[in-house]
Amino acid sequence: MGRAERPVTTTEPTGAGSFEQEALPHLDAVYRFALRLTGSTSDAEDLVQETYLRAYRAWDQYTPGTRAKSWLFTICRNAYLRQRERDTRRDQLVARAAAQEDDSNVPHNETPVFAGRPHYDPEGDFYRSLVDERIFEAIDSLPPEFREVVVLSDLEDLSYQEMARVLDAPLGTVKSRLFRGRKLLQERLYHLAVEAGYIRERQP
Amino acid sequence: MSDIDCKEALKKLYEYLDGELSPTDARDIEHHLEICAACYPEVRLTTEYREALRRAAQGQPCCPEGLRHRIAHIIEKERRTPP
Ligand SMILES: [Zn+2]
Repeated sequence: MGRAERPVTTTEPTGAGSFEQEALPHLDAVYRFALRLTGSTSDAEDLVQETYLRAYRAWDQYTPGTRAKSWLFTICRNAYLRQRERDTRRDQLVARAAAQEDDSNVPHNETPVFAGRPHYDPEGDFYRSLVDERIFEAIDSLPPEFREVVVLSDLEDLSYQEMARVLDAPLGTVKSRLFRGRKLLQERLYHLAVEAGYIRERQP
Repeated sequence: MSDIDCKEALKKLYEYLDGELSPTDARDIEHHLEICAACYPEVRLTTEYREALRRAAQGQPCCPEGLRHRIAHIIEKERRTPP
């Protein structure tokens, strides 16, 4: 039911397909996504608020039966990008560097992350030594273009197709960014484990 | 069943783990990984990585109650306002 057809009453339209039933259950997910995008709880709260207001106003454009979660992520990300444009240009350099790297002609199947790297933890047990806080620290340190794909995929379980829609990017770009983002994150997590003394790197 | 080599298997490893491969491609890679010792370290590392992120994902905060109420209030206000 489109918004225009919705009767303006005080009764709660909470039936199947309503904004309440479809969109509100994703508040936690949208908040988490906003938190990773903005890096601050107060900015995340503002962003989620704006996202839900925009989503409510655009509810008649939502296709019932599609995943409301990724539809909300799209709105959230667009609102975030607009906000960021209005704000400072502090991310510009990072974004430019990432965009240069993110050439879809570059195959996303490169050498495995740890291939040839001498270390004492070939089984990857160091991952178990990392507390969540360190993991989020590493995620938040990624350039935005890589951070968002990693978050959408590895934290929020979106499919490649859903990510392509949220990011408004071709599937090939999504795959290549995801590959690079994961590789970057794995390297950073590895270094955190080294710093924490969990892995001792072999002396050259 | 077509045989694939290590290069092909590692190239598609993420797509396989992400559940993005066709059933045929997924079976090919599964078959290869079952019998290949050379691919094992990378598979193990990738699996540990995914586990770590899944674990972290579960530890993420929920939407604060105050925000939840504010949003419900905003939506209610919108609803009362004629378009
Ligand atoms: Zn192999």
